[in-house]
Amino acid sequence: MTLPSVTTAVSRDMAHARQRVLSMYRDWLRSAPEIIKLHDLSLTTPMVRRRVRLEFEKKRQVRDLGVIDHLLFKGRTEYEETMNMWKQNAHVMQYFNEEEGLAIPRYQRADGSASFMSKFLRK
Amino acid sequence: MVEVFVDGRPVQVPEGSAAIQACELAGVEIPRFCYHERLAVAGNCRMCLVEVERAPKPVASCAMPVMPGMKIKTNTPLVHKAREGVMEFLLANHPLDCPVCDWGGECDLQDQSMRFGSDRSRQHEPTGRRAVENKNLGPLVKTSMNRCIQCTRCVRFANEVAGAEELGTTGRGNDMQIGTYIEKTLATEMSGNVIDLCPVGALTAKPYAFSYRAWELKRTESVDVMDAVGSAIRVDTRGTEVMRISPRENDDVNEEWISDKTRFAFDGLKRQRLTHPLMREGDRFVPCTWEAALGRVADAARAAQPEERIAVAGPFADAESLVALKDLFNRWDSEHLFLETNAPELVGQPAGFADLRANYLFNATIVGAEQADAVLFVGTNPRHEAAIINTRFRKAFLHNRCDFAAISPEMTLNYDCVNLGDSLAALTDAKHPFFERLRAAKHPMIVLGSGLLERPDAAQHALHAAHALAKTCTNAAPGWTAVNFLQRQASAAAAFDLGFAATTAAAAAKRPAAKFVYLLGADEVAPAALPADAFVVYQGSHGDAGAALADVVLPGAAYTEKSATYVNTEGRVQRVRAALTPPLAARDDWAILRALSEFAGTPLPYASVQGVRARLAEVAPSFAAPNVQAAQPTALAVAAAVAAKAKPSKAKAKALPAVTLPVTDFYLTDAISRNSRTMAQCSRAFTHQIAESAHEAHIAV
Ligand code: SF4
Ligand code: FES
Repeated sequence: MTLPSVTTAVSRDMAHARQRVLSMYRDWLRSAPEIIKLHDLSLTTPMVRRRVRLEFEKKRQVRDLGVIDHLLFKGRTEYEETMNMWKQNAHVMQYFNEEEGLAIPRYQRADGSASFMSKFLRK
Repeated sequence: MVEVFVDGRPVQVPEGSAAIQACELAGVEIPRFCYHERLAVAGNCRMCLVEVERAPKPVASCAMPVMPGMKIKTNTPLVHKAREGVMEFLLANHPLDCPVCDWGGECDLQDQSMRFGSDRSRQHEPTGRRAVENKNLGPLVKTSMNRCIQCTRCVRFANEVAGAEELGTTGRGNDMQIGTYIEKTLATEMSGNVIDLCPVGALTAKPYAFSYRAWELKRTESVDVMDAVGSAIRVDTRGTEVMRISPRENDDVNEEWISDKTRFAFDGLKRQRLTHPLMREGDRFVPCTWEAALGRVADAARAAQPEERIAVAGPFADAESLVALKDLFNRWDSEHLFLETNAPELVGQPAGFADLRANYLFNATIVGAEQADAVLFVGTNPRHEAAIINTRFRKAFLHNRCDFAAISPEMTLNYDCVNLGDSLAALTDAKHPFFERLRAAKHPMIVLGSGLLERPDAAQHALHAAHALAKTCTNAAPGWTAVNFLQRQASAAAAFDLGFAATTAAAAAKRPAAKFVYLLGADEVAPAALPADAFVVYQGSHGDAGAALADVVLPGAAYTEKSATYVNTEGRVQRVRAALTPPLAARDDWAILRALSEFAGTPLPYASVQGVRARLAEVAPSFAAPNVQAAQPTALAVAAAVAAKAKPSKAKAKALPAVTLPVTDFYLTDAISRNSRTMAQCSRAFTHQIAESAHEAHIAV
């Protein structure tokens, strides 16, 4: 069953925005088992939920209503793409590559060379 | 300057130019077949007819010199009619081959018949077209002589630029034919250019005949690395394969020609490629992961003492990987870096040679070589080592009556050249009458070949003697540097610029036996120069001689697969662009070294190609501005400084061994050309002059 697209909306105030964010967050958490099944991921539900939470935490400090609305829109698009299988396994797995151990932590360095080594060895 | 009017518009053109050039300046394109800016005017195709006021009939604009106040009309019914008529005559005898012709889609005749030809044919009989026998011009140029429209561009090119006088015309009128009179191949290293010049598909490429259609190809503008000239090329690819290489225009370097090696050696890119890291186990190579390979290399490097680690760069090493390799070795406190030119024996440079840019560059510049009026070659055959520069020398020969002499073994050039023997004593003596001519010349050139570097003492002696000689050239134009060094490998100038090849002969002689050897695409190292117990790493694109010596092989990218910087023999910094991605697990060369540095625990401070380029500019400022030929303001001062020190003694010169030529077979010089089937055929046909068997010749035509 295809998930219907969500129309864009403008948040009235902070409280409204917060409510919309939480509702999207819940949607993501609820869908975690479904995502694993759909995309045939070799991950557990808590792993997916932890990853979702990480994405939300990254944006926790955003206070600008316009930016929040924009992020909401992007989150919804991402959700739609994931649930409708417009993404493929590899796209979903892009979020998990570090956990997979593909980027070897030994090369994590402050100057950004981590990405160089992980790219070099993985390609 | 004279003023002429093209379709009523006034234009200023230099005196003596042709009407077609005036039209071009006015922005009016005149159709043409035989006219070519870089060749003599023939005026035999008549496609460029225009109307000139007060002339009784249309005139061929390419053969018509401009006259002051001349009024040219290019857009009148008479002109249209004339073009249509010429087209009709040409097409009457041209086969309707377009669907199976390699030139289809790029053909001047095709394009122009669409634009200027008549829209219907008056020819109804299916037979009766002119038929001409095909000629066998050797393994490179395929002929389909029915298609020839007798523009004679190929003949003019062969005679003027390539100096191969065997190509010519026989017969006249309808019976005129292009050929070599007797069964003979077109033996010149520039022959491929006639393929581009031929406005129709009469001359096409034999090695890759029928393998592509022009519109399927992806075009990438790049620079050639088969020699140190750095010709501008276009790499045409389809999917993951290079289908063809053709020249781009660059007036400062290659005009619009390229040598046959540049054009045809690319099939070597598809054979013997290294695609995975390999590790030696007993007497075989086993594919492994990058982690395993780099880990093993790093361990081996750590196990050796700093003095026991050496690196050798080969002919295709780009500046990025050279600087990364140098930085890496310096981090390991190792300084023994060599350039393959000095191999096979790994002897190092003459003292002070790498310190001054003017020592190792072609100071007169490639364009400047055209002005030369007396040239002395020392240990170099420009025809083999820099075929494009040789065309400039030929120009000097034709237009300036330049005199040539060579201190080298006997060689065949496509202009007159006096051989002064193969002993450097001839240079020190400077007794031969030719030297009088050199001293009196306005633009004298002494061209030292890179083969001299195989013996540092000989190179040093030659350099000093050359400077001493240059000092006596009192007639030289101000600002002219007579002493030139001709590199033959694309990596050489960059290596010197970066201080990569700074190891002096004295230091090299003192170093202990190597325990860890890093070959960056170096295939010509004499196995004897490497101790049997040394750990050898080969990084490169081809499984050639160098890889056979290795304990670990790291697959790198070939020049069509990377974006990299090269410096040509005149010091021009140029960028090669990637047309393809490296095959399978192969990687960009600088990135391999960067990754190795990480495994060795001595990471290099750059992680992106921009970072490496910033480092390049830091080491040698000339890298900051690609595509310019950096001036050498110090050249004269340097010459003076070197000459002051120079005390070339005759006795010493006599003791030196005879000068040899480093390239004996133009077609087989490096890993790519050695793996090219086309180059092997050329070597057989041209270098060794082995005739094809009757059967082969039959297939070839
Ligand atoms: S072979 Fe081509 S270049 Fe040569 S004369 Fe014929 S049409 Fe012209
Ligand atoms: S281009 Fe003028 S006659 Fe051929």
